[in-house]
Amino acid sequence: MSIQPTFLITDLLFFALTISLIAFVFVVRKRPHLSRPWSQVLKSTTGSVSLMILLFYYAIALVDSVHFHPRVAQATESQYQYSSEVHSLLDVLMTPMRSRMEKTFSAPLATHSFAKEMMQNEAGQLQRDYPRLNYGGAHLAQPEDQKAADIISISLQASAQALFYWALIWLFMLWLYSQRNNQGLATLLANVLKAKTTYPLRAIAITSAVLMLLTVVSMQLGQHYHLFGTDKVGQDVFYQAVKSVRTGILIGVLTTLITLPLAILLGALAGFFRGWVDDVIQYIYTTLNSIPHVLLIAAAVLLLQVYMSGHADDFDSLTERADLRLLFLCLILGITSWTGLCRLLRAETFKLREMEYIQAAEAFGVSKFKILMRHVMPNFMHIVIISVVLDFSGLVLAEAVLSYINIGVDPSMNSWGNMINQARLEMARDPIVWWSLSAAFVFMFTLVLFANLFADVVRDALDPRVVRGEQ
Amino acid sequence: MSLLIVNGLSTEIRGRGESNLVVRDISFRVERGETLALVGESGSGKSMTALSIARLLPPAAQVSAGEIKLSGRDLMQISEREMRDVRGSKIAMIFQEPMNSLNPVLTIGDQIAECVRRHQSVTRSAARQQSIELLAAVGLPVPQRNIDEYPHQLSGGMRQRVMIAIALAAQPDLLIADEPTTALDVTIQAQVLDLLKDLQSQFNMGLLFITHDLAVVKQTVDRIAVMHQGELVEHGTNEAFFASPKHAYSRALLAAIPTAQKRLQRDLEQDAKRVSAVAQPEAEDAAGPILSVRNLQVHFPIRGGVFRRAVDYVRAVDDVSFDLHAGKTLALVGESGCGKTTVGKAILQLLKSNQGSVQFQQRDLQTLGNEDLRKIRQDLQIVFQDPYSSLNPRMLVGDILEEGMTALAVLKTTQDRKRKIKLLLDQVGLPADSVLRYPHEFSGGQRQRISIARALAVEPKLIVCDEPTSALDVSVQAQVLNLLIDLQEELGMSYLFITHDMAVVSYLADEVAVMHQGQIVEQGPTEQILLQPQHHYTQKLLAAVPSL
Amino acid sequence: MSAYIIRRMLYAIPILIGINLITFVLFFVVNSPDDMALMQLGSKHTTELQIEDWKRERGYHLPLLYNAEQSGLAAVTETIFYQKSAKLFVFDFGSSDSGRDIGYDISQRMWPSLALAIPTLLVGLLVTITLALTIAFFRGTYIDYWAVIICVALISISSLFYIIGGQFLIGKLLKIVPISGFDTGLHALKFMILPVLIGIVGGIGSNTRWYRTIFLEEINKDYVRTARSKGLSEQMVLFKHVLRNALIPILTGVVVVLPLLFMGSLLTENFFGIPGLGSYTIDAINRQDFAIVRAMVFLGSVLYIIGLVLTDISYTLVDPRIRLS
Repeated sequence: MSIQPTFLITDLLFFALTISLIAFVFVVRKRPHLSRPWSQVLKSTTGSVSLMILLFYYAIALVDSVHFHPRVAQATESQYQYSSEVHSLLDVLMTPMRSRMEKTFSAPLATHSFAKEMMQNEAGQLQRDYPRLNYGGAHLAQPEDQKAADIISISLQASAQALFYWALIWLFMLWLYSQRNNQGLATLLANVLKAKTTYPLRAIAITSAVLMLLTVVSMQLGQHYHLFGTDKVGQDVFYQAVKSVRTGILIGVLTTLITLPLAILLGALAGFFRGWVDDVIQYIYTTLNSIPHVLLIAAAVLLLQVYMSGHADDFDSLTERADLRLLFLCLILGITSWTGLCRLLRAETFKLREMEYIQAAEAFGVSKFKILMRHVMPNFMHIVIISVVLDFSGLVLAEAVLSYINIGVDPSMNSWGNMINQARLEMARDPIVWWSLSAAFVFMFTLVLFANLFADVVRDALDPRVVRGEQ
Repeated sequence: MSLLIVNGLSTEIRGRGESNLVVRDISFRVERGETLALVGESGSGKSMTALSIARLLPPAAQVSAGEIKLSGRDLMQISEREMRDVRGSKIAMIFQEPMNSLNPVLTIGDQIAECVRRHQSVTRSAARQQSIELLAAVGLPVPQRNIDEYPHQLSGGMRQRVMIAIALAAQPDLLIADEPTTALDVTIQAQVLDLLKDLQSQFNMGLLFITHDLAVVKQTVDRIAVMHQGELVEHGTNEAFFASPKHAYSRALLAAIPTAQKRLQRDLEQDAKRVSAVAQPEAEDAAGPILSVRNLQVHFPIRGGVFRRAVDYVRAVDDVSFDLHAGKTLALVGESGCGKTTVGKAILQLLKSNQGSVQFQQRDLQTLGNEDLRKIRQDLQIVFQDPYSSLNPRMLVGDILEEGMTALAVLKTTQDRKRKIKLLLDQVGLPADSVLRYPHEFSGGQRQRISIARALAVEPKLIVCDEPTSALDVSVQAQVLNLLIDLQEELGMSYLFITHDMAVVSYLADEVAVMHQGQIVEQGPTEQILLQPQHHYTQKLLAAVPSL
Repeated sequence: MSAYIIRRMLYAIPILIGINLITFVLFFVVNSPDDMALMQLGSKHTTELQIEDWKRERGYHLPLLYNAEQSGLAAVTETIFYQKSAKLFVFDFGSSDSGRDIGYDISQRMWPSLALAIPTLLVGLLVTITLALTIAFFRGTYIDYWAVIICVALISISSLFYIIGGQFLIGKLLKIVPISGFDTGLHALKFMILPVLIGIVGGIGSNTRWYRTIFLEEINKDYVRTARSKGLSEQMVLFKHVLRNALIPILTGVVVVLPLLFMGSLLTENFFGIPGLGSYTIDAINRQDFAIVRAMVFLGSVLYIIGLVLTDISYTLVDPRIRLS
């Protein structure tokens, strides 16, 4: 074996969550009353385009969650030695970018460093000038003259490749579809082009083309250049931004592992049993809610830091330590954010409790537990789903703010918040170092924007109140 | 010239990519001082017609054809600004729900004076004076004080009077009343109807009266137009309509209204059937009443003070006693808030009662432990009012029907239960493939059939029917009532029938108990109560019921 | 009604006790004062003696809950719980880990925070309500559609970028106002403009969208149809009927955050170097000054609870349905 697979705790949780998501999709598909709102989501152009982009991000995070220790070169015959570093599948896919370190800042697609250095010129004299980069555009002999043409030619080639494969895949899929529905491929194509299909296939096709183009072009350019430049220690900013996807997505989804059980259980119990149970649960969430969340998180993270600095030996590697801190952050974010959903569910259970079908079940002597499981919970699940989707973007944004004030993820971890935090110190430079900020902005904005748009569509589809408003 | 001429009106609702005609090419006239009733069941397009005339349709709907002339002026042709001058001053409207139709944060005076000042140039104080006069005209007890009150401080009937005062504020030529009494109790309904008639003759208005209730129509209006699925199927004078309805739908509508005569007719048919049947199980009457309620009291605490201690009690049910015999139907009649539903729930032990006893098959339900109570539940079931909230939307109909059998362990094997479910669906007249469908795929009447089947599944001896038909259209109501009667004939159950509707009572009850403010004021055989009411409340109630 | 308000106030007491216990557990039980000392002094080359001194200086040498060495009342008062946690109830915050009087710092620093937060809130409210009402007026049209999309896009931008972008654009490119800093009195004005502006712009997206939803919910109610049937114009319907009803949830939503304005904004104050409570908190977090963080947790909770009580009171004042029942 040339690698030794390793599973961080967050990886395992993330995989488990992914599997349950897939299971959820299968369950929903079988039940018409559950799948109807979702097919409405998919029929809306905004809904399916947003979902595609979210899935793209999700896939990056998933690939970035397959971790392993690479084999170190000096291995004895019988026993391999593995590096203590942890790499992921994404690192392999982005191979040159991870390791191609420059000395310090360089602008996007630059061939020369951003800072002047003392160096010898051809005449052997010392002078201050911008040195060539170790990797960025290193294949060019005359960067000043060749760079533009080189970039254009790489981009064009990559685009052509991307579009070719894209067309191939789509034609094949449409052909399959037309076979299954006994429809001529030509009519189907015409319908797709005129946007006359049930699901917005044209928009989906365009989105996938854009995603494919961006991926292939950036990967190809990344082989020879630093697409978004390099940061202070010379690391590729594009690589950082892509690696940060996993952090953002994980914060967004793992937190729900904490919030959902708490909110669902306590909300349902409070609303169903009322009386002192309700009083106690209300007390818990009012108390928790009244502590300013940022401060509670700050206090908890500070305490974690104290703990970790006191028990530095307990952690095998920096990665593992950072991973635990990420998990802890999800935990504390979950603890601060379940109260809102809990309150909603409590109110909804209050309403459901008065529903006649629950009284009918009581008249049959159905046990309280079964009534909760069968009659109450399935009927407020739409609120849970809406709230999970709505909260996702907020959590991604929260990560950035928290990391910015040093109470977010570990500073050694790639995250948009850390990128912003490190970059803002360079705001004062002249000319300004803008690329780290911009890269973080573009990646984060895209994710959050489409998450928000998706959440809007999901809410419209799942919330019966909206349906009533339309009639 | 007619006051209002509607000519070839069509209204459509546009959804996603499709449009739906809800009013199809209808024409009618309303003269000054005349009342025209637009009658139809839910979804017939009668409200849409009213909103089309006032040009107040919701954004998704629009008039697609036709003309609407008010005193010769085509309302479809004038601008929105001109139309605003018409609304209120020429056409005024009253809606069904007086609570929702009034702005909760403005005083009643504000809401009336606003309309006065919109259409007349008067000072603020003059408008206030006029509002007080209007409130007096619609019969509010203390207009001087009522004018500064908020809608929530008034009762439902008073609120509807305020709505009428607003409508009259600018002395309109045409008043459109959209189900103005449907949300009100029958005694209040009678008062509001009288008021409307008085005011109409006083102001010489044209009145377009929209309702689903033919009984109300007969006493109130001059001419009748019947709507069905967006079309005007019949149009004629009151007398002519009730004497000989021409259209088949009108006849069906009239036939569906339950009355005592129809019951007699039905009884005769049943008797004939019974005679032809050879063996006929005799009701096990000698054993005494199946259900016997004595001095039942249910009080709800009113909490107040700093520590939310109970400072007082609402006596929802205050000393109620009655007997119900096997195979019989007892109707518990009363207006909203009289405590009749609470009685039903207390009998089923869904609510704790404060005092009294509920004897079911000679056992006091209140003293039973949980386990014994579960056994008894098999014999004691309930059918609810709202066909939409009485079935869990996330469960298959098959699972809904099976739940009771599983919980009470009535039938042990899955196969037995499946067979039973098939039988049940057949009994209530639903197709066998309903088991694999969800409640939302059924209409209101069908859902009520499912509810009945659910109760029947455990073969109860007594079913509490809590207003099982009041959310249904009249034609569907007739079907469900007949189903209940047929099932009783077949299975010999007893019904405790909770209702506010005297017509339903006369159609199926053997005995009647009239409830008022938590107490039973009178009870006895149906005929005796309906024909010779003793208690003054019963008399008042019966007098208020509009009859055909 | 007064009974209701008194009950709500009494309800705050167990919550405050709960918060106090949570902070106590978090700060003193989960991590011992020794851990804190190690963290502050660095774990290498630190002797027991240094740790003891550090703890003694700050009063962390006492036992947590019960002092066995003392007798009588002192056994309870000479403890960390009494000295550090219980005293919070009377707003005695003690001194920070670096030895400054926290109570004094708070009283000095809350004014710049307020000077920043109040104009942001008021102008922001005015702007967003106007925008939301305008969008509600054009509901169902393309204006509405695109306004909502723009709102969603604005919401999707991290608050960090509002600050960085605003600072960069206005302060650096246009050179209109200073980028950061603070001054006393009227001179503070020129330093306030940029953060207030950014605060308002940052809140436009979410608030406008939220208020629009409230307006649309009201517009679909039956009383609006009644108002139209009286012949009122669309403007009258919106301003007199819809706005009045919609203001109830909007205003009560504002009331709950009013007391929290004292706490200032962490990010804005930090970026613009405004000496308010927000930057005070951030500095404390970065210096890992637990005493200040503890004090701010308690202060924030108290202010939030005051906000809750004020919300209840304001409901009873604004909504006649509650006032008169």
